[in-house]
Parts: sequence; C-alpha cells; structure tokens
Amino acid sequence: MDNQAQMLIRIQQLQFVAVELNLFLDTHPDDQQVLALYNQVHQELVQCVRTYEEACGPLLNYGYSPAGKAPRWLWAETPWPWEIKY
Amino acid sequence: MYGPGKKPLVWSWPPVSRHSQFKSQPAADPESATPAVDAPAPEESAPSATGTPAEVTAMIGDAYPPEDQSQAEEQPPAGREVMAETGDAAVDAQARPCPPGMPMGPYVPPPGQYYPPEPQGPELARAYIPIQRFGPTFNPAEALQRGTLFPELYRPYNH
Repeated sequence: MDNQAQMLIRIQQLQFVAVELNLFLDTHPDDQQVLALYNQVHQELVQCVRTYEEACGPLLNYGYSPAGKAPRWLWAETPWPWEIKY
Repeated sequence: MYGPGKKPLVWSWPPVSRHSQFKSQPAADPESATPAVDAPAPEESAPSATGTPAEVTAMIGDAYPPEDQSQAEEQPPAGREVMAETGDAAVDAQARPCPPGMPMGPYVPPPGQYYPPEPQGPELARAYIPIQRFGPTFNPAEALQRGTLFPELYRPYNH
C-alpha cells in the first residue's frame, strides 16, 4: 500500500469517527467530553486532508479544495475512488 | 337506558368500541341521559355501557330487543336528542338521530367476536429506548472496520 492510499484510509477513518460523534451529539448536545473529542477529530481530519492535498492534489472540486502548489490542475489526474488500491 | 322493557332513545354512529364499553364508570341515570344536541353532555350523564364485562354482556340482550311496533311508535322523532351514555366525547359529538328502520341503541359487538379474551387488567405494550452513555470507543481504524465507533452498538451478524 502506497503512501497515498494510507493517507486516504486515515482520512476515511477520521471522517467515520466524525460522523459517529456527530450522530451522538445530535442526541447529546451538551456532552462536553464528546464535544471536545469531536473538535479534536475535526482538527486531525483537517490536518490530514491538508497534508494529502498538498502531496497528491485536491480531494474535492468546485472550490472545496485548493488547487495546491503544483503548476497544473491535478483534479483530473488524481485517482477515482475505484482506482485506489488499498 | 337499558332498563327492562325500555329502548334506548337514540342511536349513534360510529359504534362504540369494546374498549370504551368496558370503562368502569357508574351507570348513568336512565332519566337524566337525554341532553339537547347542542348542549355538551354533562359529565355525570356521560358514562355509558358500564360495569364489568359480565354486566355488559348481560345488557347486550337489551340492546336489540324484539321489535315492538307499538313501543317504537311511542318513540319521539329524536330530532334534538342525542345519546350521552357512551362517555366518549368524540362519539357524542358524532351522535346522530336514529334514522327510521335502524336498530336502536349503541352497537355492541357480540362478546369475543373481535378480540380474544383478555386477562384482568391488561396493559398495552410499552416501548422504550435507553439513552446512550458515552464510554470507551474503538480506535478510528477499528471503528471503520466494524461499522460503529461504539462497542455497545457492535452487533455483527453471525453467518
């Protein structure tokens, strides 16, 4: 498994944890422990996404991800989800 | 309303459910249960078919007494009279004067026709959902693999 796939898996894991905590907070909006954990996961997720996009290109298009420092548009060159070899 | 030799004065639709029939409320005074149409039924005259199921069953025979034409003709047109013996406000609000030729009195299904016998004092089922409490969680990799972050919600299919 290459480094790009490892970064994508880590992003998926953190996104899933964020979804789970999101659902928990929907019914426990005052749980300070989970709120803190959610913010922590969010920070780590943002950092992982930023690291991935700087190295491999945008994860999202239509303005939701920066084009990056590469001198060319990488969106069409990054792998599609079904092309990623985990 | 169901005294011997007496017919109920009015007829109502929809029929009274068996559950409301078995409400344990005191029997209404037969003479006081004839309020006007637009007047709300007083609380004390509201209770209807009352008493234990055995008593109600005993009354069923009077709900549809044999046709007695002379007694039926004594019946007033019942234009402004409604039944007030059901004790159910929704049913009272929909009470209608009895059309000619229709059976008199509230409809009482024969015992055991709709529902099987029930034990004494049955209660309806109650559903509850315990509030989830935050505790130890899986790590992110394990959570993604198992499909939940919370160990208490992890219930894999056994196949």
